[in-house]
Order: sequence, then C-alpha cells, then structure tokens
Amino acid sequence: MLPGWLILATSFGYLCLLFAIAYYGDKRADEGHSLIANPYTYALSIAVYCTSWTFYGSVGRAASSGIDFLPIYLGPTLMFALGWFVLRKILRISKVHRITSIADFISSRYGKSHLLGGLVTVIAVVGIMPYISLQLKAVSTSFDVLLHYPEVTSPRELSYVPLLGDTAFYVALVLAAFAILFGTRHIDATEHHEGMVAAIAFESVVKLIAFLAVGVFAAYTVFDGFADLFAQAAAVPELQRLMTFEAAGGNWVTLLLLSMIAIICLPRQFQMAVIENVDEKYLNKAVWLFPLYLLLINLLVLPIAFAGLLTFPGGQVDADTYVLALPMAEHRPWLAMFAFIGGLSAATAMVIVETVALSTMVCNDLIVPVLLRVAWLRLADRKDLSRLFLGIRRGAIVFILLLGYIYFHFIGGSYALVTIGLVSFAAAAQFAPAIFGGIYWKGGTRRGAIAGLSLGFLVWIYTLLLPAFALSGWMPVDFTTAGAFGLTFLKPYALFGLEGMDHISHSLFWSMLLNVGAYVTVSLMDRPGPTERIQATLFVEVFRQAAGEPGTRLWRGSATVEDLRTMVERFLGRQRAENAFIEYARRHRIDLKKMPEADGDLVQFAERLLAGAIGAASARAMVASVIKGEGVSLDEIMQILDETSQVLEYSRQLEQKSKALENATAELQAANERLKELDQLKDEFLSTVTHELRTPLTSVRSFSEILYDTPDLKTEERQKFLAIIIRESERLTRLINQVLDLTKIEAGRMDWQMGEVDLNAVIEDAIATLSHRFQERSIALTKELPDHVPPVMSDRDQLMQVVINLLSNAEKFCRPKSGKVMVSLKAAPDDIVVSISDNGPGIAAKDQEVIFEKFHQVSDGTTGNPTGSGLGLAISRKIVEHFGGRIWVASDLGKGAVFSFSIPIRAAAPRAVGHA
Amino acid sequence: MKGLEGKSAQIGAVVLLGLVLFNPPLVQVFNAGAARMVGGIPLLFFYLFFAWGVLIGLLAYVIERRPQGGGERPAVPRKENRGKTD
Repeated sequence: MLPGWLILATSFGYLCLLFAIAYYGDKRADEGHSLIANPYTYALSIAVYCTSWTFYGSVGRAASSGIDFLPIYLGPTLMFALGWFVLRKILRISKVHRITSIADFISSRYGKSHLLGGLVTVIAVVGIMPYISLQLKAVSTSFDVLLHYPEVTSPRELSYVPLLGDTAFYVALVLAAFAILFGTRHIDATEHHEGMVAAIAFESVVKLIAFLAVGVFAAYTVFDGFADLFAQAAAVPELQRLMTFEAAGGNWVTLLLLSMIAIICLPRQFQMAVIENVDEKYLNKAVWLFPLYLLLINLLVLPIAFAGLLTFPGGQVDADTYVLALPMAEHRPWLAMFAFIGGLSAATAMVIVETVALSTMVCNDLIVPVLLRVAWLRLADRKDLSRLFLGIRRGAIVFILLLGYIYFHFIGGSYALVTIGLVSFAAAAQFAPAIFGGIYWKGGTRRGAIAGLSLGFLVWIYTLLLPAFALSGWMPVDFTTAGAFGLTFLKPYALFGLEGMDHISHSLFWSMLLNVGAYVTVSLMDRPGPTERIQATLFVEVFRQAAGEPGTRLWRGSATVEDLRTMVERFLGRQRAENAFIEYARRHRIDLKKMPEADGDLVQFAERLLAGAIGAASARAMVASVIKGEGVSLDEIMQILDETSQVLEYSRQLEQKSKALENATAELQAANERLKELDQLKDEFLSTVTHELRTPLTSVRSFSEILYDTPDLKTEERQKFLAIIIRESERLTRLINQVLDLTKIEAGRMDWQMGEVDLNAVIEDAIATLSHRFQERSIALTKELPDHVPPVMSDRDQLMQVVINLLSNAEKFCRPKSGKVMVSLKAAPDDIVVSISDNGPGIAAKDQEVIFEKFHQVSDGTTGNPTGSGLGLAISRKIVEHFGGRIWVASDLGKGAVFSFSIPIRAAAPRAVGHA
Repeated sequence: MKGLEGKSAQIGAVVLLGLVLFNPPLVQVFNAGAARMVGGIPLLFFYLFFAWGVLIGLLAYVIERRPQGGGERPAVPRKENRGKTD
C-alpha cells in the first residue's frame, strides 16, 4: 500500500516544493517584494524551535512521564514575553553591528576576539551534534516505520546496521544537499536568507497542521472525543499516574529555565529570531504569536500519547513513533503519510537552519581567521574569495551533518529523542552568561567570557557527553559507575557526591556554577583592552546611541576608496561590492570617484559590509590590513565611548575650569592683600601727614597764644617766639609743598622745567642754602667736586631739591660738633654719581630699602622724635627715577651712611651738543 | 514615551505572573491526578493549558492595545462634522 518509492518520491517532492518556495522567496526579495516582511512569517520562522523532538519526542516523553514535555515550551513563552526587552536589545545590537551568528555576537561583544568566536563555534558544533543526530534518527526511524506499513513495528536495534544500509546516512546526505541549496547559494552581506525563511515558515505551518490532524484523528476517530479518551485512560492505573504532577519528575524547574535560555542561545534560534529578522517591529507580534504556536502544537500531545498508550498496551511500540503508528494501526495510509511529511518538515527545518547557522560560524569564526593568518599572502592574491567561502560553508554543512550522523550511529541510537535533545540544550545554555552578561553588564570581559565558556563546556563534556560515550561502549563503563580513575567523587553523574538530581539538572548545576562563577570572577579581576571597552559600551548602551551608524570614526589613518572596494570585492564578489558602494554613495550623497581617500565612515561601512560576510573579528583584521596608519589612539577611543567620554570630557573641563578658578582666586587674593596693604599705607600716610601737620601747627598755635595772652612779654622773648612761629610755618609750608609735589609726581602732573644742568653748581647752591644749619650745629661739611662736569638734561630746581633733601637728612642724623658730612661727585662715562656721606648712626640693612618709601622714618634717631616729614627720600627717588637715574644707600649700622644718586649723561649729551 | 514605559511594566508583570503560574507551588494546587476532570480533561492538564492560554492572551492584549491617546481618536471626526455643518 505504501511502497518505499512512493514514500521517497513524496519526500523528495516535498523537499522540492520547499526549494521552489525558497527560490520564489529569493526572487521576490530581489525584486523588492519580500515574502517574509511581515510579523506572521517571522513568528512562524521562529517556530523552527519545534523539531522532531516536538513532533515525535513530546508524545514519547508524555507517554513516559506525563506533563514533563511541557516546560520545554512554557520556558520559551516566558522568554518571549521577556523578549520584549531582551530580544529587542539583541536584535538592535545585531542590526547595528551586522552580526552574522551567535559566535559573531559573542566575539564582537568581547572585543572582536578570534579566540572567543572560535571557542563558541566549537562548543556550538560539538553541542549541537546530538541535536542533529536526533533529527536524523527521527527521520530515518519514521521512514522505516512507515515502510513497514501496515504492520506497526518497533524500530529498535537500529544501531548496528552497516553504513550503506542505514537510512539515516542517506537522510544526512540528502539534508546536507538541501541545506547547501537553501543556505549557501551566495555569500550575502546585505540581505538575509529570505527564501530559506519563507520555506521554514511554510514548514512550520505544515508540521502544525499535520500534528493537529493526527491529534484530532486520535481523539475523535480512534476514541470518542477527549472526555472518552481520558476516561478510558483514567481506568488504567499506570496511565492514571501520568496525570499527576509527580510523573513529571523533579526536573520541571530545570527544564523551564533550560528552555528559556535555549530559545535565545541555540544557534538556529539566534539565526531565525535575530539574524534573519527583517524589521525590529515584527518582534511585537512575535512575542505572543510564537507562544501561541507553541500552545497549539502542544495542545494535542497528551491525547495522542494516551491514545497511543491505550492502543498499543505493553510497550511493544516505541512511544516516539505514536504519531505515525496511530494512523497506521487504523489503516489510514494518507494520514500516516501526512504525519510523516509533518515530521520531515520539523526535522528538515531544524537541520537546514542549524547547519546554515553553524556553517556560517565555522567559516567566519573558525576557518577564515586561520586562513587569514596562515596562508595570508596566498589569500591576498585571490581575486574573488566569495567562491572559496561558499566552498568552506558547503564543506562545513556536510561535515556537521556527518558528525551528527556519527553521533547517532554510535551513540544516539539507544536514547529517546527528548533525552538526546536535552544534552544539546545544556550545551547551548553555556552561551547564556556571555550573552546576557554581555548585553547588560559592561564589566564582562573577554578573558571572563573565555574562562566561563571553557569551564562550562568542559563540565558539560564530562557530565553529559563522556558518560554517553561510556554507556555506548566507547569508553569503559567504569567511568560512569565508579568515576574517573576510580575516584568516587569524580563520578560524572554525581560530581563531588552531588546525588539525587537527574543527569541534566546535575550537569546544568555544575556547568553553570563554574561558567557564571568564572565569568564574573575573571571579569572583575580583569582589565579590558580599549576595543573591548568600546564594544562593551556599544552593546550595553545600544539604545542610547543615535539610531543608524554606530560609533563612527573607529578608524583613522588613510585608505583609498579603491583599496577598500577591491578588498570588499574579493569577499563579496564584484557585482555585490559594486552595488553596495553605489548604494552607499547614493545614500550619503557623495561621489566616490572624487574621493580618493576614504573617510572614517566609509571605512566603517566597508568593515561592516565585510563583517556580514566573514564575521566581525576577521573583518576588522582585513580592514586593518589596508589602512595605512594606526587604528585609533586611546584619546579617540575615549571620545567614542559616548557617555563615558562625555563624562570624562566634562570632568576634564571642570578640572581645567576649577584650576583656572583657583588661579583667579589666588590672583584675587594677592590683589586683595595688596589692596589691604595699600589701604593700610594710605591710612598710615594720612595719619602721618596729619601728625606731621599737627606738630608745627601745635607749636605755632601755642606760641601765638602765649604772645596773645601776655602782651607785656619782653621784646627779646617775643622775638624768639615769633621766630619759632615763622620757622614752624615754614616747615608747615614745606611739608605741604612736599605732599603736593609727591602727589603731582605720582599723578604725572609735575611741571618739569627741563634744561642743561651743571651739577657742580647745583651742589654749591645747595651747600650755600644749608651752610648756616651746618654751622649752627657745628657739623663739618666738606665737598669733593671735579673741576669740570658734563652737563645733564634735567630740571635744575628738582635736582637741587634732591641734594638739599639728602644734605639735610645727613645733617639731621649727625651728632652736633662731631658730625662730618661729605659731598662728592664722580663723572663716569655714562652717568654722574653724587654721594653724600655722614658719620651718623647708620641704617640697618632691613631698613635700607623701605626708607625710600613715603613716611618711612627711621625712628631710632638720637632724639627719638623724627624731625623729617618722611617724604624727602620718597620725593628724591621719584625725581631721580624720572630722569632715568637711581638712588640708593650704603650703610653699616653705627658707621654712618652713604646716600648716592646717579643721573645719566647720555640722554642729555646730544642736546648739549645741539645747543652748543 | 510614557505609554511605552507603562507597557514595559505591564509585560514585566505578565512575565512574573507566568513564573508563578507555571511553577510548583501553584501547579501543585491543581495536581489532582485522574480524580478531578474539567470537561473530561484531567484538572492538571486543563489548568496548565488554560493558564498558558490566559498568559498569551494577556500578552497579546498588552502589546496590541493602542498606547494611551487611543481615547482621543473619536474627537477628531466630531470636529470634522462640526466643520461641515458650519
């Protein structure tokens, strides 16, 4: 009734139909009318999650442990609700950075690390191997079962058939061929595998309808509705047990968590939900549509399981094949065939997407980086590398499927479908810390991710993969029963004595403990490099960055547009590269022909274009090879680190400003100090002036009062008093004149009477003016003047004032009788120096400068009562400085003082010549 | 923007509800074996699928509902009508 050729022909026909859909999908995409640009196709394509595991395995699982199949679908429901946040973020990141696979995602996040990308790829290939073997097993088993129609057989003992007689081997080859057809027709950096997605969505519909058809058939044809089915089952004690929660065993929570992780971390789910996503908006609908699909496809699992258990009591039929066996037992060949096609859909969809995803990873993250390094020169000579890459990917697909086949042939044959699949879930779960940590925690580092992934993967191998080898006779069975090297605490199913958990929970516990532990610990102790820090920020803060172009100016240095184009051509092919550059030029409204040097944006564009084809890490290496000059300096990197850099920039500016403020404050303080000083000086000046004015005024007044009160004063007395009054008035006048002079000089309003001055004459006149005072106090005044002195250009009266000031000072401080004052004049080539020496008390070194300031009187004069105004020296200095000379004093305390001033001749000499 | 934040909070709440609904303490409550049937379906099975369905329904409702502003829509045509009568 159902001959082998018919089954084969139908299967091939179906696969060809799929290919036709894919072809049509690609064609429509090229024409710009995408078949998959709607949220429904997107949700259906994500349903690639439901594989043979779901189609056949769920029923098998339900038949042995009741509701236990369900958490595998409840988890993704919860995760998709969370996907509103998590998936959206991953989607955005992947779009911005042109991520090509989960390995690319992780390597890109942690500083575009080749090592990490390679590690993820190896884990994915090894980890997914059991999962692919599951599909091969399901297809070959279902084929064999259907082949025996109408006799329902138990397809056990398939393990040791010869290779060429094994259905699974041919299944693997055929699936490899189709995967190659679907996924690797061209290297594609800008578009998606639109045709493949369309075909997968179609397959999702087929498998759902097929499964529902079998379910409805089981409930309503084999039995009289659900109530009847469950009522009959409830009558059987063993089946009654399956209706309890206890039947599910203790790993409910584990499975829920595991599946939550798997729906993101499985390479094919990442491929479908993230890489192939056309529009981020579709996620909104998929968040509830995909769980709805899961609900529908699981709705009738229990009825089929119970119907199977009731129809085939005693376990002579493998529960994993009930979906086929039920229609066969009821002699419904077409329904059985439809069910087979449904199962085939589930398996092929998974295998195609998974191998395409894995082959991309193997090519971009494993082989290309090695080729670029090892055979770099030869690779550079190749004009068009896209063919080479296609070859690598095709080879990888065949390799991965054969690996899956080998696992099935030697190990997987004896396990139930779900048990095989869960091993793969546990492997994929190892990516979770690196991914989720990577998008929410900036502190996660490359070394942390490598440490976590490696440890988790090793524990997975030890606790799940090696025991499977051992149980299949590839290793001594002692390994599982007694532990490695006979050490009980190393028993792979009870590591460190942890017993009482099922194998999956046990493995997941230890692997996650070490994975997360190592990831966090190493990351915390690590110091990430600049690229890592950039990528971490770009990933974690993806929503805060401006939409569109990610951190531009990551490249500096120069590359010609032509270099870039040639390089991209090598990887993408001439036509695609050309189109991409034309599109870029159009979008940015620039003419690339007129632009010999590529700017940072264009280099960035080329890198992302390449990243789409060969992965982020390799793309970076390639671009670096054509860029002349270094990548970016640390300063620029800090600028790119959007927020961080801004904060840093602000704080730097703040620091600068506060420094400037500090400086200004210091200046202000200094100015303030100076002001206070000046203010104090002014106060002192005022009080001194007042004091100086009061002293003569007081004597003038008191002597006037005496004269007024005593009219009968002797003439002699009166004359004496009047003389004092006159002298004090003169002193008053002099003081006021000095104050006025000083103010005038300081304000620059002095009226200088310039003329040729003979200093000898000035000195003679000054001595003549003061001689009587010297005589009065018997102070010897001598002079040492040369015969002839060159004239200087100056104000005679003011110079006279200076000499008089100095002479009267000397006179004032000398003791009467023993006092000696000498005036001398020396003519040097440049200036004339006048010195006036005395043998008075001298001036202390600390006072020698300040005495030239206003009102600084040296108070330890012999009388204790200063006789001068304190203005004389100040005025003298102003005058001398006005004529370009200087005034100074040399003195030792107790040995007299020598006051000197100099007046330059040079300024005056030409005038003198001119006049002569 | 506020509407979006509100939506995120609501979705967060749905996720938490799901975690509670799908996990042992509450699932145990409905663990009656074959003793109790709802419409011929064992209570445990019925509960799990029903809770699942409710959760998906809630998700769909929260996501597909128009964010605030939906209430203002009817006002627009009314104004247009008035404009015509004038």
